[in-house]
Amino acid sequence: MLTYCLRRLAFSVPVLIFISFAIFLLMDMAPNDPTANLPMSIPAETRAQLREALGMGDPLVARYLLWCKQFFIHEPLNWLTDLTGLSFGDPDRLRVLSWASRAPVVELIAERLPQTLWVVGLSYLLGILIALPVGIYSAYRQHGWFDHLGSFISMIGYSVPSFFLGVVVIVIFAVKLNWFPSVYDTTLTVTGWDSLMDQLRQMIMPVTILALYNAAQISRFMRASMLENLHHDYVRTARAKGASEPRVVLAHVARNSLLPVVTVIALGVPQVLAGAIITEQIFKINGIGELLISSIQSGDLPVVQTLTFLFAVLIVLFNLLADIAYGLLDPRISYD
Amino acid sequence: MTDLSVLSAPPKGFWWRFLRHKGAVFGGGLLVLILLAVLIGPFLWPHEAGQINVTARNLGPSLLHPMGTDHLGRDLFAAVLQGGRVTILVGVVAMALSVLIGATVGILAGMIRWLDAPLMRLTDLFLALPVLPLLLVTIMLWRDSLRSQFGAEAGIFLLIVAMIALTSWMQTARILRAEVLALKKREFVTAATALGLRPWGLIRRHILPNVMGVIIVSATLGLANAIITESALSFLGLGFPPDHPTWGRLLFDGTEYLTLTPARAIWPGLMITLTILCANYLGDGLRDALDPRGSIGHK
Repeated sequence: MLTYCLRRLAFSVPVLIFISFAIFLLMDMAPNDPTANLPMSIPAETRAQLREALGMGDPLVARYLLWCKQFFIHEPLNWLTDLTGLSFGDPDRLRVLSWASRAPVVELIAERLPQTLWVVGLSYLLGILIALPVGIYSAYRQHGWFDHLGSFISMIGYSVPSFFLGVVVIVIFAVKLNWFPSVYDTTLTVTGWDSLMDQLRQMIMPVTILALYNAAQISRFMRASMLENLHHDYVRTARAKGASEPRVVLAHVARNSLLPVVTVIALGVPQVLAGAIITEQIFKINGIGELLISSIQSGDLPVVQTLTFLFAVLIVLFNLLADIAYGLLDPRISYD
Repeated sequence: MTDLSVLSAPPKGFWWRFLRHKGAVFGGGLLVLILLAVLIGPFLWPHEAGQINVTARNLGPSLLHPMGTDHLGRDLFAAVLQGGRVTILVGVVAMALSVLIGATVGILAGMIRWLDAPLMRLTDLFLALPVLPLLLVTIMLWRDSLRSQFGAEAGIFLLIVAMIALTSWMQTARILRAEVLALKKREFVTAATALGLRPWGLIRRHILPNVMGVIIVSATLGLANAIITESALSFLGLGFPPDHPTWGRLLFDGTEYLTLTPARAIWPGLMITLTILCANYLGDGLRDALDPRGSIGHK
């Protein structure tokens, strides 16, 4: 098992290096000018100097290696310094800086991450909590009314794009009924009961929409996995020895059916985070998705590059976790 | 339509099982209806998309304007019909390209042993790409140069179609590789090889007809995926320009006027949803009809 984990980990390193280089190349080849958004009155020589100062004159490989050094060596060291209070190496090392705000990219992301994690995390948790019972019961009473209703709703949740559902929910609950605010107030800090209620009220709509989508996907997998297990011999054995029906379904079938679903849940995490890009745009939440879109629009390549690479890291990481979790949970699988 | 005998038809017949799946029949029918409407509709409908009529601003639904009008008095129904053409064209072309790449990679990986490992590693690599951020970045960076090369509409069309196809072929490739590997173990393939059929002939005569069903299912689900991606890009303001609005762009423009005329956002969104729902139901039904064990979780 350990050798398998190490081998998988070793394989993900070249994947990440390749992806980071591909992202770097993609941005580098593009006809993009970071000085294009500056005032027209700046003369051409000054623009050239600005580009030079941003390091755009250096050869491609040098710039890529510099970015790697900043991203993989300097930023983790800074992080370690902040965490432990000790200083490692030269405190004035170069950092990955945003072109637009001149602030370190890592700090920008750290500032935005909590909002995204709150909304996405809560909705994923809620989605799983809805999906598992729905999937189990739908499969247990296959072709029953609950199964048909559940399948229909999950098909809808799966097919209705979040950007449309978000708009519909805003029209109904924010514009017509005026129950919830349509714009997420990001300056709100929870200090007491009232502000906590405000925070909950503004989180209800985005969280519900994301949760519905997650629940739709996971419940489809849970149902399919339950259906495959329900007709195995061990289920008949459990019934024959007199185990109660809830015990047969929950302790025997559901437990075994959860195995593939756990991997689906792990594999879904990066997708859900990427989906937040759209949700954040609808409700104007200032999370990392909003940061990505605004950086794209202002041509702030370091931020865009770092965020895109972070998404790739998340995908590779959760793929790895899913594989390892499957091996740990299912004793029938041996990787050695 | 494909000849029925070539769809790897298990007992009781493909059509019998497909017609029993009511959602799929309904979805398929509605999808054809939507296709016809956007193809023929703009010729029959009296109002032209984008025609300004200041005396008829912000109207509600009526017989003359079934979906109402916008702040410049433009008929929304005409805009939706016209926008549907672009949306569905993007969906169909991107899906066809994606299936073509996926099928080529999958069949090559399944047929040629020394290509298998590198092609599958390549597929894994593409599966690890963060698709949405990458799409957004590419469009932001390349939009202007392609626009000056091919013109406003064609440039963005080529870019979006190519990017959607390049980031969505992996599932098709994986499924087809598994299918081809399973087929290669069957006796009739061994017999054909023993009789001296060349690899290319084997693919054309025996492999392709047998995986056609899988390809069709992939294509149906790929259509839904391509439409949803294009709409999401347009919704984020990085898709088609406002003078050639797709459904996603109409929805995006409509969100500015949610308090005044919510219908401007609802109708295009409803059309996107309906098309995706139909394609997904059709894909599900086709898959169930082709695979009698009928399970959703299989990949």
